[in-house]
Amino acid sequence: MKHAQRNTLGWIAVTVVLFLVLLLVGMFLRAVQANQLDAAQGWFYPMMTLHGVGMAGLWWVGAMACASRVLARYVEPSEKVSSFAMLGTVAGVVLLLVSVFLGRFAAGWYFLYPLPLKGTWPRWSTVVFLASLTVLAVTWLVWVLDLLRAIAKKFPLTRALGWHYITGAEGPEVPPVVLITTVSLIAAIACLVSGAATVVFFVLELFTGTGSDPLLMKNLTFLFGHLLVNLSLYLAVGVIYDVLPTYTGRPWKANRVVAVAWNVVLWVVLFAYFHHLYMDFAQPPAFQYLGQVASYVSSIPSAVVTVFGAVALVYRAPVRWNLTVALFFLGLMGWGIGGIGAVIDSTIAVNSVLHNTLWVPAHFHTYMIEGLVLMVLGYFYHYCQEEAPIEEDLRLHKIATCLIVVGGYGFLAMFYLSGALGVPRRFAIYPANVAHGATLSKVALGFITLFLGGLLVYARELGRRWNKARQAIHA
Amino acid sequence: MRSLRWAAVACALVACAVTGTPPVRAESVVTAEARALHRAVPDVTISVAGGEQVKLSSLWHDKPVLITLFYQRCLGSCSPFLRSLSSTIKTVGGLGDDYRVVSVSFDPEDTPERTHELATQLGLGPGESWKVGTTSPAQLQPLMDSVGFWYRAIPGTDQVDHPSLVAMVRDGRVVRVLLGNTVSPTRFQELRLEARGTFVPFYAAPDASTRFRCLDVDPATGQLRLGWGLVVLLLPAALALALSLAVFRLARPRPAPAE
Repeated sequence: MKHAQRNTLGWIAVTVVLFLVLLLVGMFLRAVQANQLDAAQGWFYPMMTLHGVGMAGLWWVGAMACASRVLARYVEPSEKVSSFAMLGTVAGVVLLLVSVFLGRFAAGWYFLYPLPLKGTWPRWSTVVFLASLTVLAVTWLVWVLDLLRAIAKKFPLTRALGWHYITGAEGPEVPPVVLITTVSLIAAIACLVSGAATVVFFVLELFTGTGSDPLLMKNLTFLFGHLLVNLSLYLAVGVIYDVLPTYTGRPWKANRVVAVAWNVVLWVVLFAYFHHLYMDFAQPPAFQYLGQVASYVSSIPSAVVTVFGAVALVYRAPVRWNLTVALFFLGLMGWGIGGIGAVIDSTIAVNSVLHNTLWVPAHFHTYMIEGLVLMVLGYFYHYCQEEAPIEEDLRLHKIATCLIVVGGYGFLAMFYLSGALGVPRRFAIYPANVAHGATLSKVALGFITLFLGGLLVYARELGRRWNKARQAIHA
Repeated sequence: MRSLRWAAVACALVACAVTGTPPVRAESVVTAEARALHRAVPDVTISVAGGEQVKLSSLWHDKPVLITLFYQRCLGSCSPFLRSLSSTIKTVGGLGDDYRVVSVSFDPEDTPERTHELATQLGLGPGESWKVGTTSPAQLQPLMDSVGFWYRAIPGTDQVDHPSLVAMVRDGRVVRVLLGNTVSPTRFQELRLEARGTFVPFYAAPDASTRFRCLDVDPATGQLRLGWGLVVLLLPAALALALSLAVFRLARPRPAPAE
């Protein structure tokens, strides 16, 4: 038991500290775009790479850590594998830091082919970056397989996927977190395998010089990247299904609607990434249409069912709105808002206009910073408060929540506004015809400082409980 | 001992990848054609036989302009290339309302009269829609740079090495370049569409040396065939299914043994 607690506290510490660091890196990016750090412009793209890869990976492991801990109420994940996952993740992060800080690797978080092989950075930094991805993909694949093994020990596959709810057959009650996690983990295997395949093709080209098909590489890269972020969200949503009822006093059970919505996700989410390739005229048109339909179908049913369920759960319930409940609720809202932005962006006619503007970072930052991040932080607080209860100061919780919401949405509004005004994405310095991008970046910096303030209040509240829980383990 | 040997081989391969020179691949025609895209073309003055001085901006202000470079003394590709261009223009409908052509000599010894002589020999025309002439050395270099043209002397001869290209210029910017000693009607049609403002994608199709191609293009018909790359693309999902089934089968809950 102590091993499990130590692991969870370890994941919490790693996630929160790295989040603060990567948030500062993000602020650096906006400061360069606001023309505030002219001397450091040369670091923009290495830092963009670190921020992107770092955040995507960080919230994936954060969500996995939450799901793993919640699943432990019903099944028995291996704590040794969890420790191995942490070691592997730290090793991968160290390699990433080496490639970015020492090698100035700057191919961006999507490291789109053939950029990693064509950059101005030294060749060894590409090799170290690919090694980092390999370590992370292998580590996470082992972690995923172990969680699936733990579920499989108790539930047959058809039960874990809740098919008996769909068919109306007799069967055991399956907690929604088990159903949603099973769906996410199966898709995660495809995600991590495609990431590994991408690395293999890069390495083969490095050694042999034989080119890869750019269309195949882009498909594989986005199958990996898009799925990783999507599945992180789903894992966190699964956690909310399990934890929110403890605050409302009402159960949130799986039923036919929930089972259908999440099984649809499993079959459709694998095709949703096609919307990243709308600009690629070599992609067969059928894939493009499939991408639009899959983007709608993979996000709308699960989001509607979940948000409706959450609202029904808290409606007129005697809820104590502490950090956990507030962050869970706001997280679901952010998921919904970011999801609407994503659905708009995944519409082919709209995407052809918005694709290369800041609208795209706007929507994915919405469901990350005001969605996934809040869900995971909400669970971290819940866990520490359960392990080491300290009397809660709800006034402080309100301040933290308000700062996170006002700062976060203000920051996002600048992205959306920039996108609507045609400010291009991935530009370090804005040319004269889009100079308003710099002004909006400056305003965004103000808002993100508010967000940071809220996060620090949260970190203080979490830190007190985390420390107490840690001392309790050592006592 | 065997594992040590394998480790040594692996280390050597990694060292080779880390420090070695990356294998060089020949630049594709498409990459070379893409290099000059969107560049601004300088508004140079062309001297045409008969003393006429024509500024490029006076030509592109109402119609796109197709620019080619040549020299009169060329014993190699210039004449066949210009003949091919002229023939293709006739094949696809001739010079009409769509665009004008400007052929500029890059030889300082050429005069407007000499270039006119060559144009007459080759049957380029008509004169109002196809201007042939020279420009000053000071204006020539920026013009060549803007369309991606170059030349260098071949030692021991009075000839120069140079590419053959046509550059379509709309509103003073390069919108498309075609490289090659002959101008194919199919590609020229794409050039005309670009001149009208229609985006025509062009890209290097992966060749036989590219492994696991998603699609193969039949150069004769332009038809697409599905390639092994699409199978590779299915692999992650297939493996996910197989691994999940294996995990659930191996770890399935066993019924308690009967008493």
